[in-house]
Amino acid sequence: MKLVSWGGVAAFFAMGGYAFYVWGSYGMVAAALALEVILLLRRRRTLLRRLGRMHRMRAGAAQGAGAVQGRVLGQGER
Amino acid sequence: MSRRLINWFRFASPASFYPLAGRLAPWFAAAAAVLVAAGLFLAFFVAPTDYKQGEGYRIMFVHVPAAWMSMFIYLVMAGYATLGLVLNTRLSAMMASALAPTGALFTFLALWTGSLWGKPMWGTWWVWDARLTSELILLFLYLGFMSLKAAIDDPRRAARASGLLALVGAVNVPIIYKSVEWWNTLHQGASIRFSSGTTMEGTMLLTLVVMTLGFWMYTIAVALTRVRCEILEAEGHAGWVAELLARERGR
Repeated sequence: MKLVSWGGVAAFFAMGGYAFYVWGSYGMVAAALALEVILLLRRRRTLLRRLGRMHRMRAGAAQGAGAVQGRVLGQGER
Repeated sequence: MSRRLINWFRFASPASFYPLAGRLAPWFAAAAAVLVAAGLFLAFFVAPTDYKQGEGYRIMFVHVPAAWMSMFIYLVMAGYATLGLVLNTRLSAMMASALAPTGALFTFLALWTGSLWGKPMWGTWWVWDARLTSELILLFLYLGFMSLKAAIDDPRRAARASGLLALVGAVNVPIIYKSVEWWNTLHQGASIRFSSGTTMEGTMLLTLVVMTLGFWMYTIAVALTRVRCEILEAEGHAGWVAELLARERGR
């Protein structure tokens, strides 16, 4: 495998005069994919947090109702 | 026979596909990272300088894979949408909408990188040429699919309407693919053909293939993660979600 001989970092970044076009392309691809991943992970996090809160509240409400019912029944027995 | 059928359809249910997608996604993400890293190395350090376009042609290694993915994802999306229309399976419609944003993203990237390639090589950012115009229509099809789905409140009706749009729009994909042969366009013809092989140097072709595979794996990882969000949004009230969240909290 023969590697490209760029002859220095500056020449590499200059891309033979096409720096703006080449880095503009690769930069946009990197930025777009990174943004998609960030937005997706954030969507997942907020969704999980919201659902977690909802189910905890629901479980809490069911427990609370059970406790109240138990107390009422207990009083009735006495 | 019947057992295999049951096992197969088990994963068509969102509740059982959710954990499977969660287990698979990291592997596809890892494969994508490795392939894209290898592809970038090939693109900048192995692929030789083009004798006609100098270093500017290196845009090809993101432009062509993005353009291929934009068409390929559309076909897969339309396939899932059709499956959803025919079998009325909820997961198919969810997969279709999980793929749409990534497809739209690759379409945008194909147009963006193409524009940055066209400026130095053709002297213009944009022309209303058949290849470019049909690719722009593809972007509008993706955006139309997503907006239509979002505009209808009832999920079943939304899936049906957007599925139909995806299916009808699929006719655009062969038009994009064949546009450089059917019309006299500024866009260069295909360098790789199924019939006559390639007119491209070996390492350039290898770089394209590696980059495309990397984008492909990325797409699968992102679509699997997004379909999990779609499932949670649709079935958030279900008992299995409560159990799952309790289990994750306990861990």
